[in-house]
Formats: sequence, C-alpha cells, structure tokens
Amino acid sequence: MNPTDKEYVERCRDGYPEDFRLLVDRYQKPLFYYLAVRVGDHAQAEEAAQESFVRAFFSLKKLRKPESFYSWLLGIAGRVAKEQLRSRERRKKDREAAEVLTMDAADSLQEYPLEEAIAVLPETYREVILLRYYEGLSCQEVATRLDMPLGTVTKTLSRAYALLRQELKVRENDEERVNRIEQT
Amino acid sequence: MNCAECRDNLVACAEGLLDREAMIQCEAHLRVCADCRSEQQAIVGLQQRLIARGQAAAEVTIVEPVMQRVLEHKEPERETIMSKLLKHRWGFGLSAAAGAAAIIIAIIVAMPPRAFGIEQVIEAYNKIRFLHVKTFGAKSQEPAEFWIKSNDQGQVEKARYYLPETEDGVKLITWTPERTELWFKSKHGFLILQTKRIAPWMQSLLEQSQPQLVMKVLLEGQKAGKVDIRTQEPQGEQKAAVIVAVHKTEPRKEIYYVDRKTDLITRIEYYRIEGTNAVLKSTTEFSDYNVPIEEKMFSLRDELPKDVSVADQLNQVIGVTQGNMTDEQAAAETVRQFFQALVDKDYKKAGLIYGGELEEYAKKEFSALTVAGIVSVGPPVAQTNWDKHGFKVPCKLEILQSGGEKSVLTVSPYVRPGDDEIHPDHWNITGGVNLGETQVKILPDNAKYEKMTPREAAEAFFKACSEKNWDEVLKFWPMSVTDQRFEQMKDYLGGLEIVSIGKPYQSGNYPGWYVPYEIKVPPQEFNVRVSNTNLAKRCVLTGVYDRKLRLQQDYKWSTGPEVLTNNDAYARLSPKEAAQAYFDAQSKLDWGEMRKFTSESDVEDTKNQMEMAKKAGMDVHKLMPVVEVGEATWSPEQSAWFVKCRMSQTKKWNLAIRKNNPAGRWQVDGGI
Repeated sequence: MNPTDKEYVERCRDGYPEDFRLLVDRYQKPLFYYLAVRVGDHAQAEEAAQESFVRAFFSLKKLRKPESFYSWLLGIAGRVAKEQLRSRERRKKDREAAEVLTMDAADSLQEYPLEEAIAVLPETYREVILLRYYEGLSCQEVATRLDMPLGTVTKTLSRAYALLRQELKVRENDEERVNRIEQT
Repeated sequence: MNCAECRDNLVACAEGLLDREAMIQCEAHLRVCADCRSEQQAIVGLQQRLIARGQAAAEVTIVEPVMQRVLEHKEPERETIMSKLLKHRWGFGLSAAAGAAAIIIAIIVAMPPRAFGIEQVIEAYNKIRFLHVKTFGAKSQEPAEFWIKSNDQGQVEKARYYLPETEDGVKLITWTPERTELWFKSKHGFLILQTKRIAPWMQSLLEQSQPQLVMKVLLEGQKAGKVDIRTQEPQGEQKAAVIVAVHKTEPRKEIYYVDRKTDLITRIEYYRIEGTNAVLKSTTEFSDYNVPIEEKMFSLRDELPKDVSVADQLNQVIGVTQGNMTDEQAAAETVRQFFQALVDKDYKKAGLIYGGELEEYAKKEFSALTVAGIVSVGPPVAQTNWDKHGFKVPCKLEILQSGGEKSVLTVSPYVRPGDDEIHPDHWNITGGVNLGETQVKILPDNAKYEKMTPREAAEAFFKACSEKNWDEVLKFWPMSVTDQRFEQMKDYLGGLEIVSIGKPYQSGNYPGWYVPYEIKVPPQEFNVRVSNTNLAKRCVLTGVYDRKLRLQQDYKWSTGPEVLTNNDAYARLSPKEAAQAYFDAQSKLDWGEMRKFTSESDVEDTKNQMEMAKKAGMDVHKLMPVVEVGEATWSPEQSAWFVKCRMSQTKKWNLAIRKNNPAGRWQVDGGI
C-alpha cells in the first residue's frame, strides 16, 4: 500500500514540501479532467490545475481533514475555474462570444460529478481507480504496484464501481430534485 | 454459474482476466439473465467513461511546473526575517493562537441555549479592558501566558507574551504599535524593532482570548446547525455554569466554564473525540479581568540582564542604502556587501544586511562554511511575482573546505528594499543564502557512487549508519552537519542492524527509486515515571523521561485510575512489574490491559499510530518496540518511582533515493 494522502499532507506540513510532488502526481490527471470540462479548454485547464495545486499547497495548514485532500482540492479547483471563466468573460468584449462560452461551460458541467464521486471514495478504492484509469495501468500492473493479489484488485474495482454508481445516483437524484424545484 | 457467482466475476470478465472455462460460463449466464446483463452494461458504461477520462488526461504532466512554483515561492518566504519572527521565533504562540482562533471562528451553533443566556455572557464582556490568559497544551509543562490591554473599540493597544517552550527556548515579547521587544531568554539576545505586521497577530491573540468574541460567533452561528450546544446551570455549591459545544461534522468539542457571579468565562477546554472518548488537547484560562496591568509590564527594558546581546532595528539602520543606485545596482551591491562581510567574518554587518539579524544568529547561520572570496555577483534577476519589487542575485563564492582545498559554490540570495519598515529605501537580503546546506559535490571517488544500483546505494547508506560512519552517511544524505535533524538521525540510526533490503521499485513521477528495507534500530534507553498515589492505590505510568531524566511526555489523567474489580491483584504489583505489564500489553496491542496502567490519551495515541502504520502497509507487530524493564528508583522530589527501560525496535519501510543531481550520486530524499 502506498503512503496515504494524510501522510503526504502531514509530511508537507512538517516541512518536507518535496513530498507535495507525490500528491500532484497522484491527482494531476483527474483534476485536469475535472477542470477541462469546466473551462472547456486544454491549455486553460492545465493552467487552472497548476494554480489549484499551488493554492492548495499554501493552504495545507487550513486543511482540517488531511485524508480528504482530494475532495478539498476539487473545492479549490472549482473556485479557480470560476475565477478563470469570469476573467475570460470580462476579457471578451463581444457579448455574444461570452454567452457562447458560458453555455459551453454549462453544457459540460454534466460530466464532472464523476470526478466528485471519485473524490468521496474511500482512499483504497480511489487509488485503484486512479491507477487503473488515469495512470492507464492494467489490473495486473495495479496488483504489482500495490503489492496485492490480482483477485483483490478486481474485487476492489468491483466495489469501487458499485460505490461510484451509488454516489452518482444520489447526485443525479439531487439534481433532478433541484430542477423540479426550479421549474415549479 | 448462478447470479452471485456471475456478479463476482463481472469485473474480471470485463477485464478479460477469467480463464476460458469461467469466461464461457459467465457469458452463458449473461445470455439468459437480464438482471446480470443490465449490471454488466452499467459496469461497462462506467468503465468507458473512466477510460475516456484517462485518455483525455493522458498527456498531462504538471508536476514539475507546480513544484517549481511551490518551491520558488517557499524559499524566500521561509527565509525572510519577518517570516522567521512570525513562523519560528513566534511560532508556538502565534500558530497555537491562530489555530485556536480558527476553531473559535468555526464554531456554529444549532440549538440556542435555553437555561443559560449567551446574551448575558456577551453583555458581561463588553467592558473588558485588561486580560490575563494562560494556555496549556496537552504535552506542555508550563503554560504560555499573555497580558493584553485593549481600547474602547476592542483593538489591542499593548501586549506582553511569555513563551516558555519554543525552538529558541524561553521568550518574552512586548508589543505596542511603536515598539516591539523580543527577549530570547535562553539565547541571551534582545531585539527591538517596529513593525505593523505583528499587530494582526496580536489582535488575533486578543480575539482568541476574548470570550466575548467566542460567544458572538456562537450566536451568529445559531442558524447553521453544525454544532449542538448544551448548557448546565450551576448546581448547589458549584461555582460555574457550563456550556458544551459538540461539533456534528468534526470530532471536536469545547467546554466553556462561566462564573455564576460575574457571568465571565473562566476556562475553555478543547477536546478531540476519539471513538467514544473525549481527549483533552488544550486548555485556555482567563483571569484577572479588568485588573489593571502595570505599564512597566509592556516594556522589557528594566528586566534585562546587563550582558544581554542587543539588536536594535529601531534606532539603527539595517540593510544597504539605495542612494543614486538603480534597483539592479542596489540589489547587487547589497549582496556584494553581505558576502564581503562573511569573507571578513563581520557577522554583525552580515546580520544587519540579512534583514537585521542578531550577530549571534548570523554567526550561527553563516559560519558553517568559510567564504574565502567572491568570484562573481549578478546580474540580478527581477522577481516579477513578488508583491514588492525584488531580485534574485546569482553569485559564485570561493569556499574553503575543511581539508584546505577550495571549491566554488553558487548561491542566489533574494534581495528587496524595505523589509525594515522604518527604512524603506534600504535594501536587505530576505533569503536564498543556504550556506549551511551541503551541496551535492563531485567526490574524488564519485565514480564508485555513480555506478551503484539503487539497492546498493540503500545498502551502503544503512551500512554507514550501522558503522556510525557519518562522513559516509553524509555522502547520501543532503544535510548540513549543523542541522539539528542530523543529530537526531545519529541518535536514531547510529549502530542500526540491517535485516533485509528489498527489490527497488519506481512509482508515479518520482524521479528516483523506492527501496524497501527492514532494519533494527539501536536500543534506546529511557525512564518511565510510576506512581501509586491515586485512589486505586495501584502503580500506573504518569510520564516518560529520556535517559538523562528530561521529561518527554507527561501522561495526564483526566480522572485518575479507576478502582478495578480485581484491583487488589494490580495493587500488589511493584513499580517494575507494573511497567513490565504495561509494555507487555502494548506489545500485544491489548488496549484494555494497557488502560489499567496508563492514561486514556496514551492508549489512544498508541492506537492511532498503529492504525496509521497499518494503513501504510507496515507490519505493526514488528513495529512495536520490545522493551526490557530495569531497576526502579524512588524520587522523593517527584514522589514517584523512575523505572529504567531499554527499547529495541524493527522498522520496515521504503527508502526514497534519487541521483538526478550534478554529481550523479544517490541522495536520500526520505523514508527514514
């Protein structure tokens, strides 16, 4: 088992900023995707991801639950994305262009609950999902990396899928409820 | 294959991991079972979404740019005089205060107290002008204290602060807007300066200490529903009413004690909830409300010993005057004068340019290496991302090694004007001078180290530790010999025994290797304090001391040991036997038995550590130290026995090493 987010966060707080590298490495890809669907542009998503990590690093002392690092990071990233969209809108003098941009971003919002759902997975499940899909490892490679039997990897994945689907369902229901309220 | 078996195999099936026969069976079941088919489709759909994400993000590599920004920003921050004052010299008090303030601000109340009126409490505090506060940490031996005077608007006017336990030893600070005085009692130094930057910190201390603010926040938060508030009116002879704030979303609670006569808060206890237990983490006591504080308390001048070393930033000029120089010229000249002062060993001047540091501190900081001369200075590079304009000035210095040979060292100090707020036209160095840190130099026998495999490097490192060959250790450990951590490492690893070195592996984007290892760290000697002066009359542990009998940890009992059902049997144990029984229970992870000999907080701390180690994949049974218990000695001063102990421990972890440095040698990054 790799060191946990909590351990990395505590190491950074204890004066080992280099260990932040491992957190960036672990979450750069899902964070990028989360931002890409929000800001709708590859380069800007990378920029926003960098900014989010840097802000997170300098706010680590404020993080009350180090084990929830990724979830907290998504919160920061959400704010960064909003700032970026706002500043982009300000720069666009053409009103029409700004509207199109906002719509693009809004259209893509439907995709990011999956990243949020990943963020609330228990760390064991999240780690396997990240390695399998964002690092592109095969199940066998995940098993080697985490020093666990192949069967455990597939069982962990199976449980992770179930939790993700459950979480997505809850979010969809919430969204539907909000839509209904807005329509009435 | 039935539905349960099929579902167990769905992921393996989707991943193509089933053997041929199982695959055929699974597919056959899917053909006839709509429920399982639907489950399979849901999994495949989710997999496709995840695969798409992974592919879209495949090329993303932002680790280096992020780390560059993180470390670049960090370097000058860490080194400025003010950050040193605020983060280190003031560290304990201010961070503790800021933490507590954050806790207070975070309190949000769900239920309005019914029996006891919070409004009463607020009213009671509206006229507080003088305050004396003590804060007790769970492990601190002596409280930090502060005395504050505020004006009609609730703004801090004057403050005095006593910090008994800091990195710099005992410190006393007084603050007014015009003058700040710091007395480093243990270091025998005294610093006078004027700064506005301390005011917000002092204000936060005042706010943390003023129950008035706490109560206002409680009231304001009533609507948010994140904390339960319970109040208890004083009963009978009880002097205090109690307000308990239990957080719903975090494992915390606070208890406020309110004096029934004055409606003033006298004490706040901060607890962390661990399982079903509330563990006391710190206590703040408020006293002497509106008892006037003598004016002389807000200046240290009359209290100082005659021979204290004084650094005066208030009445003497620090840094280098800009005059007619351009910014670039001023930056380069500041750096040149600083290094010339080091060549001349004029640490007073070096200290003044280095943000006005004390001579003693500058000497300690900069005398680790002998600077023989300046090879080159500049050109300065503007730091555009700073709030204030400043420069990084690359320099090459000629360094005299201990063996007499010379080498060239490259450093890049950060320079900017006006760190001294009274002299904004004066330039001074704010960081980037890491002379104390060992560079990764090319060694005469460098090739030997370059050729090592990660495993050989790890083995050589641990072997050097086991032989206490510290010169050799330093070849792998990028650390200054003056670094306190080096001393700690020597104590911890000197004489270790290598059990095994595993197969190195790489992970993530870390540019080096992780080498699994198992070592036996050398036995450490220490003492436990054992006492039976309690209601249960049995021997329990009340503290841990190092081999020189310096207190390491005080075990605080909230209620004292309880009388057990078979108390007599335990009461018959000698101090030595009680200590032995405690360590036996610890080694078996028998928390129930441990509780009979130690405080709840010690049991919980040990449990937490073991759980963390377990999560990190460590073998906790191997991790648990083996302790041999020796003789017990009675201490009349402490009214307790001191039992000598000797601990040996096995550690299993991964050493992180990399060699992407100019010398191409393996350097340990962590994992010890």
